[in-house]
Amino acid sequence: MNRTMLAALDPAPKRELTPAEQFRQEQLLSSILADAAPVKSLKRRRPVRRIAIAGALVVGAAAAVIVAPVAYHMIRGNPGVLSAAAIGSWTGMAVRVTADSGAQQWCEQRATGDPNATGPFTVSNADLRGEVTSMILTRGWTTRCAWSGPTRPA
Amino acid sequence: MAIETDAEFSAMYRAHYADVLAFARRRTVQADDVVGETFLAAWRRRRDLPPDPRPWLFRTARNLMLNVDRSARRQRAVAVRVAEQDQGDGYEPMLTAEARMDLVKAWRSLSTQDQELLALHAWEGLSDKEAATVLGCTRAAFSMRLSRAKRRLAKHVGPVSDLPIAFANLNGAS
Repeated sequence: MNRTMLAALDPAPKRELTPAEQFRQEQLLSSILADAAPVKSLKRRRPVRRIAIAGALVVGAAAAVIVAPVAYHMIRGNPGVLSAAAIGSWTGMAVRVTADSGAQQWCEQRATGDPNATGPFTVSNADLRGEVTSMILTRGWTTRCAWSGPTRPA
Repeated sequence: MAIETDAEFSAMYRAHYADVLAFARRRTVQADDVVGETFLAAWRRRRDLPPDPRPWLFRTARNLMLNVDRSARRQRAVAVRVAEQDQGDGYEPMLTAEARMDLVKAWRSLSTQDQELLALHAWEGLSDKEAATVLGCTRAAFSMRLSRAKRRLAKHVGPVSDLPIAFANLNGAS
């Protein structure tokens, strides 16, 4: 491409500045030099945000690896708690648990409460369905849900 | 080119003010605002300016024009204006009125990307490396795009008898 040809179309060809332009030039320079803003650096800033996001992802992934098996077992349940026969005996109607039942004693032994809590358990919502006894045990600020079946020393 | 003193910055400013002003005038009617913002950015980053600040200044001015509004931000190039009338700068013998009209028409048929490439080459007079810095691409990419832009301009101009010299060495050294 011939530069000379295109130069004919140049809307701002090279020339000396007019007095008005020179005046504006000096005015602008004065205002720029008066600018007191701190000097910025062209050097690339440290990618703090990227590092933070990457760190959060790593922590999240690690937490998922740790929590996933626990959550899986929680969702799946512990098949050792109740036998298939106990679950099979489950009834729609609940029967009141008698006071001499050994189920409460068993549940209290298994329930892990607040180590700082003192005093006996308070039992609520205790019922018997088939061979399964379930109850809510409260001691201090700690509440546990427990159940027992025929395979347990109820 | 770490500028530490007001005097150093003033010298750099006076050396490049006219070039940056012309660069902006070729692309916007608000050239004074663009020039002011450009040199203010240079002042605030004066300690990290490259040894030859001209491409950096052009690049900053270009980015400012691209960021004028949201719609322009989606564009990849700044449209370049063209002088429709002869400005009495000694080039009149080179082009007749008819040839100029054809050339203006051909210029306007180009994409803004092509216009920008050609303007950096022909008007700003930048080397391929400097122009690549302005556009943020490699020198090889700029050279390739410039060659294509030249071919497209020549194609749009067509066989104009008044421009034999201009296009005779289209792909040769400029």
